[in-house]
Amino acid sequence: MNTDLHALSAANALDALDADERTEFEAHLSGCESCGHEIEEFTFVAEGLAVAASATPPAHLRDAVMSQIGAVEQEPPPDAPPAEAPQAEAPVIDLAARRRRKNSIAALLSAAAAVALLAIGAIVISGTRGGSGFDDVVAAPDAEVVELIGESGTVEVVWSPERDQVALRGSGLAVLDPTLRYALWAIADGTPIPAGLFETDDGTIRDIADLDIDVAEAWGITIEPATGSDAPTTEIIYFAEV
Amino acid sequence: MTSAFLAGPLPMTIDLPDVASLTRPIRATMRRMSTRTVGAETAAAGDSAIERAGRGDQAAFAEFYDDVSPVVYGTTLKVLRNQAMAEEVTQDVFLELWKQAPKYDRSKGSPRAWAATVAHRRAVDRVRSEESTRARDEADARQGAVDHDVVIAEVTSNEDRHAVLAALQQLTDAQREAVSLAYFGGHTYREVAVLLDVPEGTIKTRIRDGLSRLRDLMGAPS
Repeated sequence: MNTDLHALSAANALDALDADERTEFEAHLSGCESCGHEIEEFTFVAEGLAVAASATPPAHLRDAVMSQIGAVEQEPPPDAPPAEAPQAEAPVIDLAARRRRKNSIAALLSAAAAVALLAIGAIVISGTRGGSGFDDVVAAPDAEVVELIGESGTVEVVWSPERDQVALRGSGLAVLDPTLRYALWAIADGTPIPAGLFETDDGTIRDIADLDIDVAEAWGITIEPATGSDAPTTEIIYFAEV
Repeated sequence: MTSAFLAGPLPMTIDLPDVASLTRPIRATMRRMSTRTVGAETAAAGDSAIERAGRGDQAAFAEFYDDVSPVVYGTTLKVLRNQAMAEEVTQDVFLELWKQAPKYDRSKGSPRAWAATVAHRRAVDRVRSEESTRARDEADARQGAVDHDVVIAEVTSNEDRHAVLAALQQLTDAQREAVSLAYFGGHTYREVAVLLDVPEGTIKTRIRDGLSRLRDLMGAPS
């Protein structure tokens, strides 16, 4: 043990070491328990000296300080808690991760659908609610339009909160196996909410669904069974944040 | 030699307890100092103002300010001996305390002790980087570290302060001088040795002995 360094613990508590000595001393500190104990005691004494010098500050200083702290960002606490834990019941869409990922639409299609993908099939317009209902949603005064990004084609979501309806418009989409559907999800607080099932025979979609929600932070599309799912069971293939 | 420290702000008429009864009241008071959290009525289980401030609570920080600002301001004022500078450094210190508040750890010391540490370090760094340092050092050497005339708006009068001043009176003149020059003069121990024309080793010993004695008198946590 270096006696010299030890003798400095008192001076250190008074900030009476020059820069080099302070560095040396602090390096020594980490390995020395008796020093640590002494530091505690001497710091306590230094606090006493500071208290002895107490003087009431001018009143304007308080205002100056309080008006400035708003602009100063606080350091994170030493053990910052992990990001909000996912809910056990419902899957959480990690928007941040989502932005980083690229999804391959091909990976998500069943083998049968992969065949259909290449088919230029007869154009059979299924009995969807396209038509005037769709135009009404799109024309609604509070309609919010969001274009979703995916690997193939274009997809647009038009949501009218007032009408409690959402319209989906798409073209160039893959035709799915008949047992599957495109499922639209409205995402709020990381939780996906079912917003309709859609199908296409020719790669286009022009359809609407009922949707009663207050807020949508993002929209996503997955491929689900034709009977629908309560939560996404496959990877999101089209997505956009509002 | 009169007490250099006490010659300044402390009125000579103050009634200090006699030596025999000194030890006990000082220990009791200082023990309260050591465990006291800001806002003394805060129970040990409750969060101190600074801990709440560490979660972004600005009103709690205002409480913390009210509790420790006299210590912060008084220390910077004593070290810097310049009111404008002291006000500036005090503001800087509190912005730093706000910034670091989430990292405050009560096991490392009371909120006031933490504030005092940051304040003193900042004041010392500032004084050592100032042009006027040399003139200050020369003045110190000439006057034997008597406090300069500093306009102190209002010296806070409280039990803790009196307890510490009483403890300081118990040191030898040499110890008190070395401690005062170091802590309140903002000098390194080497500089103190030069100022007093005394070997460095002697100053180190005086500082160490002085702090040890204060520790014993103040009832430092063991």
